[in-house]
Amino acid sequence: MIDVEVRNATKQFGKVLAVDDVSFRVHKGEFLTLLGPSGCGKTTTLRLIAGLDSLTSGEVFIRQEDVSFAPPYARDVSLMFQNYALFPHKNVFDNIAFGLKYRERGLGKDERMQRVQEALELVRLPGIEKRYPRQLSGGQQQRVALARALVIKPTVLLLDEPFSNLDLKLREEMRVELKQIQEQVKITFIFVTHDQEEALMLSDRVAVMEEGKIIQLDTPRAVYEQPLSRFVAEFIGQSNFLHGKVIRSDPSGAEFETESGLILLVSNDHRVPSGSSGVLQIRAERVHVYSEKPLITTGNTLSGVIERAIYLGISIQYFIRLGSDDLIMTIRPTTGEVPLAGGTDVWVAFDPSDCQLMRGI
Amino acid sequence: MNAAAKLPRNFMSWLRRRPAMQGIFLAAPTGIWLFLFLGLPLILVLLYSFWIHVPGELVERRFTLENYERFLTRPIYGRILLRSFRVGLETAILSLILAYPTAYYLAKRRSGSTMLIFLILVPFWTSYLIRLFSWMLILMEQGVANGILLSLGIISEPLRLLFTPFAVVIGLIYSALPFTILPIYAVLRGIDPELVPAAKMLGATDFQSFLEVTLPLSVPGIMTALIITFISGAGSFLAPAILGGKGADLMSNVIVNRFLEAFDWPFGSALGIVLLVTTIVLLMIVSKYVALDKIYGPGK
Amino acid sequence: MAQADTVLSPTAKGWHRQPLPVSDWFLRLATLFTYAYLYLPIVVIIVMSFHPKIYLTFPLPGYSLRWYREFIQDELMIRSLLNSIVLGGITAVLSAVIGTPCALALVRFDFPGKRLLNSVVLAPMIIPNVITAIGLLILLNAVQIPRGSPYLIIGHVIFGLPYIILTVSSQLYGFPRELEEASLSLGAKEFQTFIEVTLPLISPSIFAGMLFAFTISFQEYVASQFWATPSTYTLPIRIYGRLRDAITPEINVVGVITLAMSFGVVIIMKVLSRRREGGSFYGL
Repeated sequence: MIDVEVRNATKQFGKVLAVDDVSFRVHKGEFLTLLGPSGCGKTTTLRLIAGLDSLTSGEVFIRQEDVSFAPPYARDVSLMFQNYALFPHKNVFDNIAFGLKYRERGLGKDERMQRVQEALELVRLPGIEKRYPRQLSGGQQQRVALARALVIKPTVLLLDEPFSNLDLKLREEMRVELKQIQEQVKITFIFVTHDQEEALMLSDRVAVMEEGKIIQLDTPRAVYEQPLSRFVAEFIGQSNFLHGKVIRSDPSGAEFETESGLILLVSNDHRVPSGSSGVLQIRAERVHVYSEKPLITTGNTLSGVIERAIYLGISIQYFIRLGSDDLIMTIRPTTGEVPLAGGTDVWVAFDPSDCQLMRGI
Repeated sequence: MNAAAKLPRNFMSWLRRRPAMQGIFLAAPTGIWLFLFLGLPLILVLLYSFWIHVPGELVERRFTLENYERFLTRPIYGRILLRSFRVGLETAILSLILAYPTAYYLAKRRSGSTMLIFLILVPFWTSYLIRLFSWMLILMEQGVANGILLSLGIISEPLRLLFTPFAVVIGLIYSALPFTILPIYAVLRGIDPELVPAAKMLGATDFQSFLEVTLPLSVPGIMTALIITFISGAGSFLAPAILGGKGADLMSNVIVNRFLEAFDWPFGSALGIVLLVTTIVLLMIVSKYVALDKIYGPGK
Repeated sequence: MAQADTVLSPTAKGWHRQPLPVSDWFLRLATLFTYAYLYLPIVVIIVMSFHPKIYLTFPLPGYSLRWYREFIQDELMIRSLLNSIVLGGITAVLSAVIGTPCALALVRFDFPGKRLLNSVVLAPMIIPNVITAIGLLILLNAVQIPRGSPYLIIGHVIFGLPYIILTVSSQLYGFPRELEEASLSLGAKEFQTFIEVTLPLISPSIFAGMLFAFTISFQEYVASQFWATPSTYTLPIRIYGRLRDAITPEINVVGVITLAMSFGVVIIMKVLSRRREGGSFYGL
């Protein structure tokens, strides 16, 4: 069952095309994330679904019902704001009961109280009904905002960077909790973030956006392993990019010649034909480093010199200058041993299946 | 609840998608009020200024330039207009000289100045007429100022302070002072506090960094203050009427006199138009340099 | 003056130097002078209100409550005081009702004529009161409305409007729009959202604007003298009338009474400014 469908949604602010012909569907109970840098149109897309901005063209359906022109209060969605937007002049109870008051008019007083209590228990903050937002910590405000959004049992919950105002530690806690709550309430979530880690860990599917368009919409693993464009590959994780052209292509794989003259074996899932130029992506953490030439050299094995080593605690980052003058970056987990120093001669190796061919730039 | 989306497009939903119409609806009461009771009357004042005054009746609706001729040919009126502007200018400049050090001190105080700023405003809330009356008591022959000066032995004869041009300017500065201090204070507070240390790091002395950094950056506040005080000074009525005595009349005083005592509305209207037009022209010249809505807009 | 000092002071550690004592003293003295200037008339009024004689002299020959008794029996004066309070109240309420939507329009919406309205709204503060006064006098006289309350109410609202619009719009500029959006997405319609969310949150600045409008109306003399009739004399008109005859000590008492009222207003403002989250207006 499809809970939300966006068809060719376009939003123009003056001359700026904030959302450019975006279409996607969200299944019931799914956790979809709109991921992208600031200004990519992800928040505007969310606001179009909520009805807070009006479509320039296109359509929005919620449970098969066309709500393209419906005001926010006539759409069965609720929204959690970046800065929570709790009503400062109302206490926690009145904040949470606000939606019940308007959306479920028939609700009795006892029922309303019970619903508010349930919502507060869901976010693990029972017994704070009488307090005012300013008396709550950032994390508590966030939970109250979540309770307020969920208490009306919307078809879809929209979340606009809800964790961006929390400090790192609290943010990590809240992510886990949000995921648990979503599994518990089984409501469809559409989540907006610029944080790739958040997107990968929470989502069933991720839509990567750039300049108002969805570039790729897939599972977190697919987005990470098979990015469709250099933008996606650059935005998520860390990679090396080498320019060049395909010199041999067949179903089992391909050979890629870089502009610097290196010939590399690569997998060719996208069937890039021989002769076409393109970019090769190699994930940094998939590049192995050896201080001596490895015995088995099935994939790509190249020699080079460590130009710089950056120690990051959990991992270490090496910049390695190859014989061809290309600079390769690799991230290795740290071990008990002393890391390799700058100037050391090393060998790098990476598997053809960790090389993604992309057409174009 | 979803039914609302399917309702026939009623007036509200028609309005909801026309923000310009909503704006017009909301602004209409104020717009109409100001047009009917301020804009339209100004047009009538303009009309009256071209009509003829007939003693016994208010006006005869016949076109004439007589009222403006009278203004231009009798030197007394030109003198009064000039005096109005001179008094406005004196008020503006003297208030500025008094206000700047105070605003500077308040802006730079480390412990904050909320209470002190508040105290600057308190007099504004008390009756202006009463405060002017108090200045009468201070400046009159047997008043507070002479009493103190005599008892200190600084003077042996009471000074004539009241009913002088000096008294008028004292009264005008008094009412202008809060509105001079506040804009300057607001601007000074808004200056990045690291700029002056930065200038000093680069070798400027305190006074040099004041001249190079603080003073130029506070120019908008200074201009705002000057304009507000100039306009209120040049258009003032009460201070000249109460503290100025004979021969201190400014434009407003003459207009009041023409209307309420001579019942010569056409000539009074002509004087009003002259005052209005000269004020607006001066404002327009200045507003090339400063945005007007910032001047009368909210201070900090 | 400060420059002379810097020449004398040690030059090596320029940026360590503290503010110079002399320039500091100058600033303090100037500030002190400003406050003395501002408060002297207020102190004088209070002290003089206890003067025992009909001819006010300084120093006072003694103290008495004579003029307070005189004031209590002065029906005309008290009538004018009440007139002014009622007029101020009406002005404040009407200005708020008319001006608040206008502030919303100016901050929230784009519409044809907005730029014009933006400057017209400030016009009553810029145009000398005398001109506003003769204009309204000519207009209402032309449609044969007799002078008195209608003139005063209509006119004072003109003077009150800019204050309401400025205080309310200064808060609206910083108003968190997402609160209204939250309300809409939780099911409240536009008008319900305005009543539930917007109005309670901007009410402190509406109230502050109303106090401004009241104060402006309460003090207004120049225009009111064109509009009032003896039965509608406001307090300033009555006081000015007395002043023309002679300096009557009773005015000091009236001054003390209005001072007490103003301080009440000021204290309310102070409390309000703490509750207002958005911008403040003229420090209040």
